[in-house]
Amino acid sequence: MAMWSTACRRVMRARPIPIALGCPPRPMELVTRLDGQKTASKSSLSASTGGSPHPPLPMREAERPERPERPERLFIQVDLELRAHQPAVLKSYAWFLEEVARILEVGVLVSEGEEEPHKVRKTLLKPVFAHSKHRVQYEMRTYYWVIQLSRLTQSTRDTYLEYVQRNLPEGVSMVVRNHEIRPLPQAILNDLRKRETPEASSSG
Amino acid sequence: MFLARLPPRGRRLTSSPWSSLLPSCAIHTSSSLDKDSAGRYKVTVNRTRPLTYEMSFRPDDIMHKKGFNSFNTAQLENTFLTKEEIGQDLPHKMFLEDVFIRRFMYGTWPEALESTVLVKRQHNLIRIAAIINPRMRTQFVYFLIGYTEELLSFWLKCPVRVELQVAEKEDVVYKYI
Repeated sequence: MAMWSTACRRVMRARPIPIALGCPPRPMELVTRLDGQKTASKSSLSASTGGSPHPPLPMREAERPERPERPERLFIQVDLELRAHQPAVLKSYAWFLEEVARILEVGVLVSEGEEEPHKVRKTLLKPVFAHSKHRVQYEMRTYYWVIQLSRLTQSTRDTYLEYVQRNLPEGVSMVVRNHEIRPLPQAILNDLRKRETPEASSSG
Repeated sequence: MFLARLPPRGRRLTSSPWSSLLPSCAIHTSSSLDKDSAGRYKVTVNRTRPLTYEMSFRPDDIMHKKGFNSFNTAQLENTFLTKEEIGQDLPHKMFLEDVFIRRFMYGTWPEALESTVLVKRQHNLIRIAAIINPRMRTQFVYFLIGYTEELLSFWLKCPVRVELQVAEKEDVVYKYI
């Protein structure tokens, strides 16, 4: 997965798409790029780049000096909470998320939607003036869907989220919660070691 | 000959036997005028009023047989009443922006809109969709698309994309009432 994740990042950087303009890449396009070795002949870009599976890097990336990479952050779990007014759109987008996770080899722990939406009901007066007996009722529904992804690196998570959020449909909102694994701070580690050594000496 | 001074015009008319049939200003007081009239179109005698698919359904049928005209996330549960957290009153802002967009589209495209204007919001982007009839020349259509996108993006402070489809009126009409 580490090899694929850097390849994904190169692909995403090579074709920068501003969030406002242009079409986001479709899933099949991404698949052909990741399997560049196999489907280089089929992809339309191979003709322009002289048969190489990946598009050429932009100049600034090639000119940039090498800098030491930090160790990647590790996420034991990433929760995506989706909210929408229309259950059909939500279900379809959830299928899309699962499919992208399958293609990028990201494990999906949970993918389920709540059947009953959260409803806000308002009873308002129907006429402009008087006639309080006549009212009108409105309702706003929010449907929820939760997807939990397991064990991601920072680059995988960034790639997945960027692709998936570019294709977020209108009327659907996403909340991302990350569960990160970090090493214990040095002060706490020292404290733990100090506590362990007196016990070992007393027992031994 | 002795000419009598005629009374003023109004008074002369009201003194005639037909005065009860003349139009007059009066105040209606009845309890049956509080009925719903939104999104409902009156049936004509000749059945000549054309309705699009959307117009033929009532507002009660939204989410059942009809779709929304405006797609955004402002009315979702944790966005609707979170003015302090977000920093701006999104639902009302988006609503007024939609009203402005629809008036702007109706005015900019001269008798060209065949359907209602849909407003879809994805992240920062506003996508405006509509069906126009093929009466205008292509150059004018392209100019108006650019004009709309440019001005609306300056006013609404976010990118705007206009997505149009061309269809004849017969193709857009669903039924006649």
